[in-house]
Amino acid sequence: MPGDLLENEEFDVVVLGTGPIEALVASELADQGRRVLHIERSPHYGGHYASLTPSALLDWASSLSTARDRRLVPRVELYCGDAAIAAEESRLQLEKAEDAEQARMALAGLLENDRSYALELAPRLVRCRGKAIDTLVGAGVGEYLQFRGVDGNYIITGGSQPVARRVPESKEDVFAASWLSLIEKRKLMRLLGALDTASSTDDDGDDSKRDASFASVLAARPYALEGPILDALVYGVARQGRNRVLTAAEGFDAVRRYVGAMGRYGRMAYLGALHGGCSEVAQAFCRLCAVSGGTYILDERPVLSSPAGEGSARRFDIQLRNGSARARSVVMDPTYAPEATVSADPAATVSRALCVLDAAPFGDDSTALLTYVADGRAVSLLYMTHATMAVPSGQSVVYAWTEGRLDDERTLLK
Amino acid sequence: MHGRRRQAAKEATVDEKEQNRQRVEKYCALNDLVMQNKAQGVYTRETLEATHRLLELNTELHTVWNYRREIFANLPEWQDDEQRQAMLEKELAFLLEIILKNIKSYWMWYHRVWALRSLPTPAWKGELALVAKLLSYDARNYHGWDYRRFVVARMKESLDTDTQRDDVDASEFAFTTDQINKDCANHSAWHNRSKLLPAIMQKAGGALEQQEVLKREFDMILNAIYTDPDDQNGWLYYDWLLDVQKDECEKQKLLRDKVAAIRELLDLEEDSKRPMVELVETLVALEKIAPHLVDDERKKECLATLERLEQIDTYHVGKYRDMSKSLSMRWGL
Repeated sequence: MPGDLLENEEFDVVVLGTGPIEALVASELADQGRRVLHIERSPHYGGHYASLTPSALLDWASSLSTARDRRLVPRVELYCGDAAIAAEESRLQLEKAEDAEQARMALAGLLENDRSYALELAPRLVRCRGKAIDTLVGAGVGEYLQFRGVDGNYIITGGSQPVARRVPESKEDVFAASWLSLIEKRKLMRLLGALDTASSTDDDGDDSKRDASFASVLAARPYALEGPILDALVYGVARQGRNRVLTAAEGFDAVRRYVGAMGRYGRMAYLGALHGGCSEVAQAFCRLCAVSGGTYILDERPVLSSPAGEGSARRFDIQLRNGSARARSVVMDPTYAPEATVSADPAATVSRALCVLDAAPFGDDSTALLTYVADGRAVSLLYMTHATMAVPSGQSVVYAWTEGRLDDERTLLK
Repeated sequence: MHGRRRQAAKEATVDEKEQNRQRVEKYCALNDLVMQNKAQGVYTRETLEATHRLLELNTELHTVWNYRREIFANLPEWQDDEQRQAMLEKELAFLLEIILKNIKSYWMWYHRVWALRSLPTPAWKGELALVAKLLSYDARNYHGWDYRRFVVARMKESLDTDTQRDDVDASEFAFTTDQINKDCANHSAWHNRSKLLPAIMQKAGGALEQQEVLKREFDMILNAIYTDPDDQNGWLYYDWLLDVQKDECEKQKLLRDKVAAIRELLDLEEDSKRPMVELVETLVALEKIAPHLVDDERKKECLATLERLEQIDTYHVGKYRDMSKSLSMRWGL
């Protein structure tokens, strides 16, 4: 609340950062009757999970370059360019801006419609069936959120000439998929049928098969799949990532979860939130927290001191620009920690890219999930349009992310 | 409609029972009035209005629909083209309102056909759009498909050139492709396709082009069979396609191709019921027109397949035993 000074006010918990996880925790604590102070360093909710307009995105990117500890903070690089679609071949070509003038013009075009964009820093989808959606529905935040279904799941393979193919999700899709051979269609239908039975991985109770990789089990009899359809199942549906190779049991479970999610709200397995999933979920939970009595401060850089006092009298002191507060416990987004370290494991890092296009190659009013596979590594892509209010009508945005450090993944993302 | 559950009837409250009783009373009174007028052959605007009210309440009274048609024909306005057009357009709008109460009503569909036949200047394009919309709600409604064929036929009559008529055929053919892609088990769509194929073949012209058309059909059939080998539609269309071949040589070749295709499928999936039955039936058909092509080994294979079917498809044991017996007798095995 503007103008109010906090003069050493007591709270039970101080939460630092308004990402969706912190927001959920804050709202849960407030719901249980704790006094909660929720602080966010940015002027917007969501922290590093926010949805931003292009101008806010540029602000955010430049603010990071002045941050104290560069190791913790996401590294951001910006490119401007032109996108052209060669209509005859249905290929998308991107050209980097030749000079500063072109770049400036492209940027100006973007900023002209600044408020029509909601670009996500960490885009997320929610599966139609599962703990996540149940949490959202159970907490009652459904009232604050709107979703659109993900209309298609595509697999992109093909080395030097990548091709995007729609992953068939039903009998009709299989029938109409011209890129599948007749035999592949039969095998796929058999696989979909087998998923209905309880445990399809260990038909003969073979333990070695259970630990074998999903991909290898699908490649062997009786499935004997290969090529794009194998990639589609392993990466597109079961969502195997760099972190580890899925075992057969995990893979089949993942496919079952995917298929089980279909039909609940429509033909799709995933939902995409309007205006940006993480940001909207974070805001929704913050709203719930405030309704339950939580106090909110945005655009504030709190200074946390080591706790003073012993046992039940132990308190943290929080210094604010105008005022101070004390709390028994502190919950924080890791980037607020004074002495945080970066994990040495490259797989614990996620590299992202986003690309705003002047056209809508996969349809003007749709959302699509795509997976680009090369050499056993996958990049997840999310295509969003006006349908989820991410960009103005006629344009689209493609998000990409993959596990690994930016330096290593840069070429892959390009 | 297909695939929709019927809603179970609920027990009525006292108020509802009274309302229902009054409704029934009104209905019976109206019904009696109309039937009396019909018996006396009264053809006036008032009786027309009475039939309108009655049919709104109960769309299935086919004698009343008959009576209504008689009234129309006996009104003086009927003779004037302009007035008839206006009356019938209103009638079509009325039908559109009430057809949704029972989308499978023979009487209402027939009445619509009658109205269009009697219209001085029918709007065929509009009707086509209407039936397309209906089929988007219920793609397997045979009334809709029948009606579509009627509309298309009349539309073609009203066109001037052959190319225009061919275009209509082509777009209808494409419509069936669309419908089959949406649901490969849509029997009505396959059936309609079979009605259109001869015209398409003829338009194709030379033998080479006709082969192309046939190849596309076979691709589609195999697509359906591989996607779901137990669904009858692909198989039935296949049978029909082979049946209409006039050339004996061509037929032989196609039957052999069919056997090869089924064998490939069975390689992939051994105990697949329908393909196995089709294998036997195809070999039997082949033996009839070209006995030299089906040797003793093939015949024994048929009997062995039937035996295997008796084991895996116990519901139809009797049928397989029957087939075995008659084949053994015919082939002397």
